[in-house]
Amino acid sequence: MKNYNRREFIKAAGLLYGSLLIIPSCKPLSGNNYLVFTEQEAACLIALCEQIIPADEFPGATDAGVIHFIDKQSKLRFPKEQILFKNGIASLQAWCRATHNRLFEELDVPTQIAIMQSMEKDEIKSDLWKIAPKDFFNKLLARTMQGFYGSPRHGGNKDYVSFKMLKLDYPLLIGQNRYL
Amino acid sequence: MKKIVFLSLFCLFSILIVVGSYITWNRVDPDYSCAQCHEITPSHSKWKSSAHAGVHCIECHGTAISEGFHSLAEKSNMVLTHFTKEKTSDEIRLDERQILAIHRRCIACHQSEYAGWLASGHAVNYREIFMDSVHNALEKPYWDCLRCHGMFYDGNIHDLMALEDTSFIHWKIRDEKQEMLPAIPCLACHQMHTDNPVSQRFVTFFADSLRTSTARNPRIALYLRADKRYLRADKLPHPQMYNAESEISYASDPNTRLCMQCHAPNFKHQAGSEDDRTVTGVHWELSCTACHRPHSGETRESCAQCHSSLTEVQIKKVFEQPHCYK
Repeated sequence: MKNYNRREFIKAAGLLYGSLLIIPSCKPLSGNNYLVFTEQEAACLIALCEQIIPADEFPGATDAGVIHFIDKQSKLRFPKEQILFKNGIASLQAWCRATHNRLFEELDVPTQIAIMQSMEKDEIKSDLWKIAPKDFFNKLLARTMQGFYGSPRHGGNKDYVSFKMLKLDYPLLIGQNRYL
Repeated sequence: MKKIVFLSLFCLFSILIVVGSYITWNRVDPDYSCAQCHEITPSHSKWKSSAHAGVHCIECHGTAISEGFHSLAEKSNMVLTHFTKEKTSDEIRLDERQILAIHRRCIACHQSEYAGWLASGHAVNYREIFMDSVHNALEKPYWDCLRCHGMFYDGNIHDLMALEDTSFIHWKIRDEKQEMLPAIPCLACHQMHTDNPVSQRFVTFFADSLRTSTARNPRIALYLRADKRYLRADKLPHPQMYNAESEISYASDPNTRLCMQCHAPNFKHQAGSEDDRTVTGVHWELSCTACHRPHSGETRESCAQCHSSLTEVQIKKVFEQPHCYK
């Protein structure tokens, strides 16, 4: 261990304190809004979820924040699913690039639907897929439905949009419960 | 002797570094301190566009030492959670003690609103609500009371009250300290960090339009105890209401939607039943806040605001007419 004399110590301490003032000038490393997914992965997932529950006269999966439900649950409750989702997205994007020369979210809606139908029926046979497309689709379908129809406390169904669509009486409007 | 001087200098420098860094951390723009952590990014962005953007984080949240041991333990836990990245909730929840601390900080600036609230029925404390023998004779306190009274209470109705005795006379609040706490604090109807565009001048001139304004979201929201989250007032439902078998119309503005969540009818949504105050007569489409002041609930001067030609006697006569189904 190096021995410091008083002068060196004061210099080092001054430098240390001075350098602490630089901390506030550090900008956040990234503007990523997700816990598990990258912005690119999230864009693909949002496009997939929106085709499962598209917006019509009622909000769809995007407006209900389904992506945040999947992201949150993949981080907190089902960390093992992170690999499935990440592999699924990577495979889908690689396959779309090879067959359509575009990313999934850049394709038109009929093409996106056709691809998802093929995934559901397990009709896509390609070495580009690291996992079975059907497994990826089924897991995504389940999580999308849960995120859209479940309670907002789990991260999806923003502002109770699906409850409103279903005309559920929520929050329950009920007065006191007197004996008489 | 030299050693003692050296050690003293070392301690002095260490204290200076720690204290200096701590003060710097608390004083700089939150963009470069608090908001560096992803956990609070959504709250931070909402705060930046809110009316409170000029109020620094520590003014409401305090510092690591402002609440003594409680805040030190809480902030240490946050830091530990952030760096360990263990399974945890990414949503910040406040307990009742913290909610009431924020309530006191609201009061520090909003004195006028506080004065109104203090004069209103909403300033009730736990004792006045839960140990009201006249009410308890009609209804035993149960879990749903906490939906509107004591919505931030950290427990259930049996934690709050001793209800074992068959006679309502003996129903008591278990903890005497709880009795005098406000049961409907500011945060019952006001959500922190709500989405809102930054305020601009109301009048903006365009070539094809005389004036326009940016629509602002309501500043009120309902705290849903069951879900431990807020729902902005304009997103609350506008339930169908009935007078006997007939469906009736009533105001659908955010204020009315919020008020009726607690001033609620029975399960059949009958106007005037239970705590419902649905308006009837010529004022049927007016919002609750058209007549009631938002914080005090007063109505005394509201008639004259629209009907300035009415005399005191005439206003008194109007008051005698039924203005709601109750």
